[in-house]
Amino acid sequence: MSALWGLLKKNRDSIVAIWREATLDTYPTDASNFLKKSKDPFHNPVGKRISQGLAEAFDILADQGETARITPFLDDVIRMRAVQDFSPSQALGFIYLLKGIIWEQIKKDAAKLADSPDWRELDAKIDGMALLGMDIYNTCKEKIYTMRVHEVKNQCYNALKKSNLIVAIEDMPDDQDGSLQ
Amino acid sequence: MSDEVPKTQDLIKSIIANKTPAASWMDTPTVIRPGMYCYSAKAKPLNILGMPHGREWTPDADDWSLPENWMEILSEGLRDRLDRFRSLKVFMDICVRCGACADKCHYFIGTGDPKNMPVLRAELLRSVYRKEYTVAGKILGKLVGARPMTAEVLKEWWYYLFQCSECRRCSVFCPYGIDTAEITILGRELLNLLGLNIDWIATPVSNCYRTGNHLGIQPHAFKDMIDFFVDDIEEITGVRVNPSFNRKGAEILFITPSGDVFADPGTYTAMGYLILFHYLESMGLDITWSTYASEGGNFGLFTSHEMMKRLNAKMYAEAKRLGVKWILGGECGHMWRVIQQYMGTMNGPADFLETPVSPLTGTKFQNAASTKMVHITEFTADLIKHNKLKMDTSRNDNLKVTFHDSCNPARAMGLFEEPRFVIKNTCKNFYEMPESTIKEQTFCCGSGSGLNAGENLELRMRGGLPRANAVKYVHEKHGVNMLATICAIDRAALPPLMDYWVPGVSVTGVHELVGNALILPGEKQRETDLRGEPLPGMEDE
Repeated sequence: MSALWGLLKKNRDSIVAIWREATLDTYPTDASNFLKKSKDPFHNPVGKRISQGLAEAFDILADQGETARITPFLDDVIRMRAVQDFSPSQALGFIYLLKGIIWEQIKKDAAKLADSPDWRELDAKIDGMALLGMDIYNTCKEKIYTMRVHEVKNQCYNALKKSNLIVAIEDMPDDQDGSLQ
Repeated sequence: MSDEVPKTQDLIKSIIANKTPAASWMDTPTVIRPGMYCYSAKAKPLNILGMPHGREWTPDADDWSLPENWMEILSEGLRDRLDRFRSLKVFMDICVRCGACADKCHYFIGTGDPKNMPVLRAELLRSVYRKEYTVAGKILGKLVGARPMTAEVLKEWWYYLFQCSECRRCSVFCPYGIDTAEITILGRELLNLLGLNIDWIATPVSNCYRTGNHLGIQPHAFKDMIDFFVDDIEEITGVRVNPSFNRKGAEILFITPSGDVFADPGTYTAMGYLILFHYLESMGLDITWSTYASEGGNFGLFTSHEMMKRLNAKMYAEAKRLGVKWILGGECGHMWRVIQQYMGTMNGPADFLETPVSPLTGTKFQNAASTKMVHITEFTADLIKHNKLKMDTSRNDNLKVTFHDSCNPARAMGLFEEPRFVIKNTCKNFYEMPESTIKEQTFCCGSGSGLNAGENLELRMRGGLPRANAVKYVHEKHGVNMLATICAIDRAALPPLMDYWVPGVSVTGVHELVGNALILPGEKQRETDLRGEPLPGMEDE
């Protein structure tokens, strides 16, 4: 393991704590105090998902794991932010915060690593995480819109069916070779 | 990476440009966001109901076309209600802003918007009350949390009073017993004086007033729907059930939310009722449906006290017309709040009816002595307790069930054990969600009190997060795949909530489980459940 990845692991707790704090700071001040303090996962699902999701995502990152493995943990966080009061950039901005946080936490020990190619890999991994985040965000929004469309389609279809205005294909008799009579 | 990497705080500033500033809530302007509000009430339903100032207006427009003297109307409306409702007067005065309720609201927990803290939602009204009715408020204004009414304040009221589902979870935690739902109810009543309702409430209320149910379904179509169920039941069980409608002289009138008759998966619950009634008929049950009192729900509760009373009255008028002895009520949520907490003094006591007695077990339901209306899970739990039902519970073996306590049956009538007793006697796999999320502490579905519209899905998904989060826990821990509930709004609202947060969990009414398990005399070997899906062991048939 190269020195940079070692530094990430060494500073894991402080990096994750600051990342969590900064992400929760994106909520209104009166709410972020509650979101930061309440430890009950059922009372404070937003705080819990963010704490757990970011910690798991960071650990995979620091282990140089496949970015795709981060999906379920990012999903836990982004699925919420996709329906909260955030624009897309605000909803996903917390991922980019990680770059500055890492630098601030390890810069004292990282002077000798200025030219290390590992920086580029780390940079690319965080960018990869952000791109993955875009996919998740978009999936969540598409889900909302699809649900909305389904609701309208079902209402229309059911209204027509209950009014005996349509005969569904599955209600029509088949002949022996399976074609419609 | 170099020193040029932006500092974290700079990034936060650039990324989170419109982060809510650490300003007093009164100085934080309200932004009316799409996805968070329901469409406005149209003129016609309000006019039909004789409600004032029906007009076309849109919530995101600057001009809401308010009547010229709207401030006077509102001020007079508040004065009138402070005189009539002692609870409102007390709730305006006694809150010490201790914050016990602050983090108990599912909308606050899911949105992080401070104005969704119950204390702040109530403060929206209290601030205006202080300015108009307290000496300190008149003199010191903002210093003591008082502010004058303005068009912006009115919009803020509208936006946040329709982000409260009147679930009353916050009231469980208030040391003074302040019921924020009552503040919401009266706040919405004031808004209705200016024609400021939402379409999802006003149209169902108007429909219910005209045709007897929220959807505007006429009596013949109501019967047609039940006939569809009769056909389906025959196909599945081989037995043709024979419900009666508007039958004078029947002993019991059955009333359920129209959602059970017209919206999946509530329809399977309605089939469960039909199977149960057919099973009991030969044992002496004498029950009729009504195509006129064809709605148990009462969106009048979300409009005004007068409208709630008006809609509730038709159920009892029908009971009187048919000459029944008592009323059996289906799996509904807020219907039971109206019955349990208002009916006795609002349209009752219903002295022309008799205290309900089960004709099958002889049990007298003394708890319904005033309203003469029994919840169907009480009725069925009593039947099971007395060994009156023969059931094959293995038909539900494919289900791992948890139970969502619907807010109103839970907090308005304390109905905790009966539905659980019925579920446990119809299914072998039952798992509770964590204690802090069920029974009196249950989390709302996020769509109650008329907020179950399509246009405010983001609000519904946020508000339903705490509930979905607890379901996800039992889904992951025990493999729960079915969420049972006893409320028609839940049955409509929870499927999309599960679809978004916990895919793989379906939603059922409790009597769908009963209908699946009950062995009808003369039935054929069932191959499918009431949804037409293969029963356990029949997958390859």
